[in-house]
Amino acid sequence: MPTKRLDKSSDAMFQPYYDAAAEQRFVLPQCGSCGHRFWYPQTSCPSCLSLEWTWRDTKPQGRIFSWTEVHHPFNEELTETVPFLVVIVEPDEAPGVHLVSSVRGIEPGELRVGLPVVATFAAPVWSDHMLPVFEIDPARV
Amino acid sequence: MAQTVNTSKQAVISGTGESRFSRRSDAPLARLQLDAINAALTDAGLEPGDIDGVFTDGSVMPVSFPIDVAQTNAGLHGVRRVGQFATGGTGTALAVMEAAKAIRQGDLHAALIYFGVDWGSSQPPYSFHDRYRAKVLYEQPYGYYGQALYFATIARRYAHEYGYTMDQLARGLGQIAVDHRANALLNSNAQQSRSLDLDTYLAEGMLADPLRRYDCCLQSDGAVALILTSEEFNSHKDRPAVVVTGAGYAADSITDESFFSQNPLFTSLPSAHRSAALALSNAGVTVEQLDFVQAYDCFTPSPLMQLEALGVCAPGAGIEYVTAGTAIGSDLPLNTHGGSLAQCYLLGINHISEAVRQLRGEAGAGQVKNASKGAVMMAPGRDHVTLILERS
Repeated sequence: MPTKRLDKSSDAMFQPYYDAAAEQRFVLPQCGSCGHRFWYPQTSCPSCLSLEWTWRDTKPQGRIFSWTEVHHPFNEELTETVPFLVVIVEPDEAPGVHLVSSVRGIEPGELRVGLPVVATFAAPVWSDHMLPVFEIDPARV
Repeated sequence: MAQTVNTSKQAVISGTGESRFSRRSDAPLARLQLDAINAALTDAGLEPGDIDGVFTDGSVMPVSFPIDVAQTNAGLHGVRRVGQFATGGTGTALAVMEAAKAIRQGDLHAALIYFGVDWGSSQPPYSFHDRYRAKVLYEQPYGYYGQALYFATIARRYAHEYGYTMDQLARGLGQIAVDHRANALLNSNAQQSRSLDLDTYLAEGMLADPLRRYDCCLQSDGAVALILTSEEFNSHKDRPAVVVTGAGYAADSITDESFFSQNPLFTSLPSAHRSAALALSNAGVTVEQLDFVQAYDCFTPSPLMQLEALGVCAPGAGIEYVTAGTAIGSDLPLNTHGGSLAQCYLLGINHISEAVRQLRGEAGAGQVKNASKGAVMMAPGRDHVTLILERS
């Protein structure tokens, strides 16, 4: 098992995402003024600069935007973990958001940009925290 | 239109110095950097006391070789202006741009710009991005770690958006690696000394699919120094003056932390498009007039995107363009020294010293015939600098 990476999820700005994931909820920052869902969290809304945004439940599904299969451990803690897949998912309800995640239950050769995916919650390859990871959504293939 | 350069009001890169470049140097970084500074002073024909401005990167050098250390060890007792640019890969190009402005305005006579790293012998720069909370908390848990992964996902998306097969993509990126290597073999200060062909490139296993070993830049110990002066302080009237005739900086409204995963366009560099247009415009030079391009090449997709930004080909046509070849001898050679892929990884400052070498006609076996105008582009990210350098 890879060792625990870092446990610095105590930042007020970032922690709510981890808290929601622990409850198996997928949340994104959403602007209270213009409704824009954005990523990563930052002090002001990147669309309208409003300071009034909140973490909002977001439908945990999207499509594969890009992906890579990692063969080389760029950190020695990942030596036993390679090869593994990393995907970038664009959530259906948040066009333009690129969620870095992983995908399960599919061979690299079957992976395609545009495939529909749905989130489940598990500890990914380099964390002990429950976070969104994705599976192919058979209902929408 | 090409215009006669009025050097009396221009900033000239009148000195360059390079340490020996290697994977692991026996000498500490401080010694490599001092070697480069002293070589640049000699090349410029100046004494340490002639330097009145010192500029460097502000992301790496403030810890490894800060300005006070440079000033003290090189004997730069006449310094009256300093600056650091904490903009990552654009830092030293921005330093040249700002030093050139100060010289054109008559505020400075001779400005030193320096940069060096010992990342070849100390540690690879992967942990450099641990400073970004979103990366640590939202990317690294999934193993999205190491800058190669950013460019792997960019390359795959690029192939998808523009309809290239993965084989076409591999042959395009591979040709970039092959051409950089061929250029490096003509440079006497390059780390790579063995030739590379496309079959060898393709036979390498993936590091982060679709990127292979030779899509990634070297790890290096080395240092470079540049000296900018007014034409009046350029002591070498006997050789061509290399003038900074154009410079453009542009930045997108997205943080460094967010850029590589959240860049809305993902497969292109908006700031590079704007900085290139600015630099060409204020130099009064067209892309067709350029004799070479030195573009920041941390990974092969990076110069690909910057060539598109410069306008040598349309967005999405880059793979076709590079597949046709960009080595010395092609219409517009790219990274004539071998770049970060095959000469040395110094975050691009060696691209500037190489541009000077080319424009002076001092590049030896790697000389681009009749080189009189060139572009330097740094770097793939939220912000970007393009410099246009011309021989007068």
